[in-house]
Amino acid sequence: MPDWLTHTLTGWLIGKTTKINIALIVIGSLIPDLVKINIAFTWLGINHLHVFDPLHTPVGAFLIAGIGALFFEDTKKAFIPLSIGVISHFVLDFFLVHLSGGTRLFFPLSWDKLNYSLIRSEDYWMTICAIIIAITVLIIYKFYDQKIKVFSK
Amino acid sequence: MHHRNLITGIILIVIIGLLMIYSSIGHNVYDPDIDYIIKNFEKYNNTQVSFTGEIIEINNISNNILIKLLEPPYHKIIVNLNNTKENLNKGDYAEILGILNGKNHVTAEKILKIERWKHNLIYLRSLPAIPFALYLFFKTWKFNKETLKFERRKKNA
Repeated sequence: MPDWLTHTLTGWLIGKTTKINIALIVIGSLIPDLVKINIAFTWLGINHLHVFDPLHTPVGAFLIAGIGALFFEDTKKAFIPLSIGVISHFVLDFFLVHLSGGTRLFFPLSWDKLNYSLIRSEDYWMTICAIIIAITVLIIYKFYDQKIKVFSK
Repeated sequence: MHHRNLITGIILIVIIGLLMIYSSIGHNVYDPDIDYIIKNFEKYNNTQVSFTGEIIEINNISNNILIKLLEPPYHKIIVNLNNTKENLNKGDYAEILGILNGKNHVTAEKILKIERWKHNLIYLRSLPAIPFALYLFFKTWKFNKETLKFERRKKNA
């Protein structure tokens, strides 16, 4: 996985540039990594038996997004940004270098793991790039917002 | 919560529950992990396996390393490096792709090394994401305990 900061910043960038609910895209971008519940079991010395693995598949993550969306006034309007976040997560993960395959994109129909080895998970330059792009976009938007305010006066 | 939402929620939870059960039962059949492979090593001997672990010992004379798996019961596997040229250090993490040729012995074909500090940094730089995501979320949404739903905050409506 790329780190969560890269995932959330990517979600933020998508939300900011598309004017879709930023907060829900960001939350959606973290949904597949709910699979990290595994870590808690590992710390406790308990074998998790791969029970949580489906959370890190598109089907599982969309189902969680669907459950989450039920807690909003407009379920459909919440589900769309959550799903965009989920998709952004899998797009980033798809490009991670693995020796034994990446993500089970077509689970439960197929157990094959797919990836296109491009970026190493420990590569912090990806995070630095995401931070720089996010700050640049933030500055551009602040600049244009100020310009619009001046013109509207 | 509306009845229709409740029923939808139950259906979605049941589906995800079934997927979890399927994952747990089917994993050892379709994509067995290294713990299962070691337990049933006769079945998988001389086949290609992959796993990730921490390098706990390096033997430069025999060109072997000892890897401790990251998950319980933390099996230890001897990995022969004759076919690889990766420069490894004790404490680093490594993803190994190789041929199982013994109960706890693998001849590596490919190794993906992750230095320990870089591995730990992944978790460290993930930490700011949690307050960042929570801040963005609760800046826009608040939970209504009566309706059991998140509502947009007025200034963000």
